[in-house]
Amino acid sequence: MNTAVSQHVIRFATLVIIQVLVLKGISLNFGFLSKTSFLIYPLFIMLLPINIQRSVLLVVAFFLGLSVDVFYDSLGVHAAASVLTAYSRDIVLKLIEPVQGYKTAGSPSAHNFGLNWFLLYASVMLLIHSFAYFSIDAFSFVYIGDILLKTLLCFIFSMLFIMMHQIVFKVN
Amino acid sequence: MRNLLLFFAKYGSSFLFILLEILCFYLIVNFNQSQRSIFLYSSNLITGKLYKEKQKVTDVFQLSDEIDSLRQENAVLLRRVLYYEGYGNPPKIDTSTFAYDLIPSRVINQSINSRNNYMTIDKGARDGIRIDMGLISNDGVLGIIDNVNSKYSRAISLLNSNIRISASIKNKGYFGNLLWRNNDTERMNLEAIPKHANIAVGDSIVTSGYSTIFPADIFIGKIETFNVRKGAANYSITVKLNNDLSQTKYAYIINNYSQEAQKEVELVQ
Repeated sequence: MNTAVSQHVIRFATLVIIQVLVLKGISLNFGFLSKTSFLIYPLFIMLLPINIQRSVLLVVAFFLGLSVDVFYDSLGVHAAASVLTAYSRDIVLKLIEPVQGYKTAGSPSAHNFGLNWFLLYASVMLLIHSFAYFSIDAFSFVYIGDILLKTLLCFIFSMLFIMMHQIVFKVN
Repeated sequence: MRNLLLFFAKYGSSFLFILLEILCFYLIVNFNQSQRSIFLYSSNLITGKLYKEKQKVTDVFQLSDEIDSLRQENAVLLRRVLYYEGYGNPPKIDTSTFAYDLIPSRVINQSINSRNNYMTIDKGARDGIRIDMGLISNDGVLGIIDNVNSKYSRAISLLNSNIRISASIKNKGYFGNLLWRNNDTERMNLEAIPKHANIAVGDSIVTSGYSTIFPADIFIGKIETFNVRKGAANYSITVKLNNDLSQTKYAYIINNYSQEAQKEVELVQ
């Protein structure tokens, strides 16, 4: 296995393990903050190579979501959100394409395109993912206020993790 | 063929996306309790509406049958009026002294194939329905109301293993309990009629009037077979029901005005 692929496999495993063993158990008991949850595994979808085939991306995202679901006892919920996020990745990348275009076969990371660009990219992707996840989890837009609050809280706290990850690790 | 392949090359990922989302949706609905109940609730709203619309259409086709049965019922009542008027002196009817009231209603849902069958009626608490009221049609007894909300109520059908109706043999006075034992949608069992009673096949079974639910002499069915099991003190009687419960569309709910009073006095030990 070459290093490019093994790098993604290791990231897959690490993110899922951190998600289900550490972040799943964290709860903040301060009023409305108790609705906070963390979703960092979408970072794996964000950091897959730019030129990856879309259908491969979808299948990989499906299995990513499914492996998180197995630990959350919510078969299908994370998977549905992940597949949606993966599908919208190409659209998001096209919308926020830098002026000089994507001149790399590597990942759309902060190391390759700058921290500002990555902040925008990760924000859009994470918002899509968390909104999709909490909507599917509630399964009804009757709870739209609750869904939006949870999305916002999850977005803020998960973004901290994701940006920290980008500052610490140089992803090519 | 080439165009087809190009089409899939271009939109294949979108198809895959839709396919995977359908798979996820299937998993969610089948393996998650809360999402499953929301899904069932929402889909029932849609199917319920559909059933109601379908009912509207099929009602039109069955209208002539309905009119026939109502006309027959009318004829029976008219015959009684003529009978009274024939004596030249029809009795004054004072409705305030009636012991029972009949509330007309429609059967909107019912089962007949399970061990415990129920009927749903389109009248509820706001129409004056209460638990323990009797349900009859012009062909005879149907069941007993056991659950009421504001708009609808549910009745235990005769075809329910929990039902017990106090029934007697018309003009002979013996009375016993009517039960449903054999999962036969047309027959019930009458028990506790002593074996010295003089009964015959074809005798009419009616309500005894000894409960607070049904007034006396409402027709239930006829004796089809009877025998005495060895060593038993009572007959085992099979009653063929007069009502075809699978065809019931309209029902009357019996409101016994003195039910509370009778129950009260019977409670005292």
